[in-house]
Amino acid sequence: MTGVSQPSATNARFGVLLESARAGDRAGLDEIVSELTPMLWHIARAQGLDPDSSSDVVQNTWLSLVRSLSDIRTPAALTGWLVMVTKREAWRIARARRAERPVDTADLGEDPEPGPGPEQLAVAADTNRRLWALLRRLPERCQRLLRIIAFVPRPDYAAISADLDVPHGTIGPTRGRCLARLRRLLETATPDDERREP
Amino acid sequence: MTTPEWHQAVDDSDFVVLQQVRDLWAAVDPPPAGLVDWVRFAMEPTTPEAEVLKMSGRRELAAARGDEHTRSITFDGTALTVIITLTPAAEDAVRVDGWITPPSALHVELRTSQGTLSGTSDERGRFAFDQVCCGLVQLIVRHNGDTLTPSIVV
Repeated sequence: MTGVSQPSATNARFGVLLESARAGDRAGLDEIVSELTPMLWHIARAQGLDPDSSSDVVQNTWLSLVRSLSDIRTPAALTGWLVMVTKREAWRIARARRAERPVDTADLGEDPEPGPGPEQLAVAADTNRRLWALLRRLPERCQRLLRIIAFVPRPDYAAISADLDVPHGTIGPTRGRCLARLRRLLETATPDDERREP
Repeated sequence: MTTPEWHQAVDDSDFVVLQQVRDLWAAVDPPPAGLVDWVRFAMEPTTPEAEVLKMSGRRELAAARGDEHTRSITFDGTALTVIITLTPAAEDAVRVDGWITPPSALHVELRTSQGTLSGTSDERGRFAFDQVCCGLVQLIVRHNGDTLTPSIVV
């Protein structure tokens, strides 16, 4: 299994980029933008926003950061700030959309599921199809939470996922429970599914 | 509030699972290819003092026929609101009509990938750029400090 990055190296690099961005270096900021935009995108999409609105929310977060950058001193604080601003704005827009939707279109269906469509899954690797099938057995809130925390840089994970455990106005399942449930599913799912190679 | 017991509970195998979840979403619903560029373009002139307007409404105005359609986008801020209407003009060009409220005569700039167009709104807050090259644009209104919009693709 690849891709489990070394936390300290990532953290040190983000620290350097953040320092240079705070000192006014746009190249540092540009690199942070390209590293963390996917995380912000998946946060917005996980709130049920369509692609256009998600792009708007992501851009809004980055533009707001310019004003707040002087108050943000550590990579974990940066990630935490980005996650919270994006999540709050995406949630606000998603809620406004639901409120303004005319009654006569209510029958046309719920928000488009913020998940892959059949054609996307058709091209996805077998491992992804299997994982998606298992993820769908989790409560929706778990699916959203796991989608978000999967993109949080590892060094910032503990601090940020603790914050994410406080959903708006409700007590949600903890990310720990969601992750444990997914792991159980992965362990107990039929091995036949696993052996099938792409 | 931190939860130390959870902090300890996160191990490498948890991150392997999270990495799989990450790979899944990265494969099936990645961000638009241009998103990072749109953000960088819009951030270029953005200063800590500038006010950034929020896109609060997008509307496709029904066209009688054909593929061409007119779009209207509303940007909201604390001091002013800007509504722009994008109408297909010539090949690869659009006309941008803008309306600033509260109405006032202000210096307006439209940043495009080919350079910056300058103009002024009239006392009713109206302004227009009649030949804007298709691509990424961003509006800047200069008054007490700068007001910027996010970048949009026209």
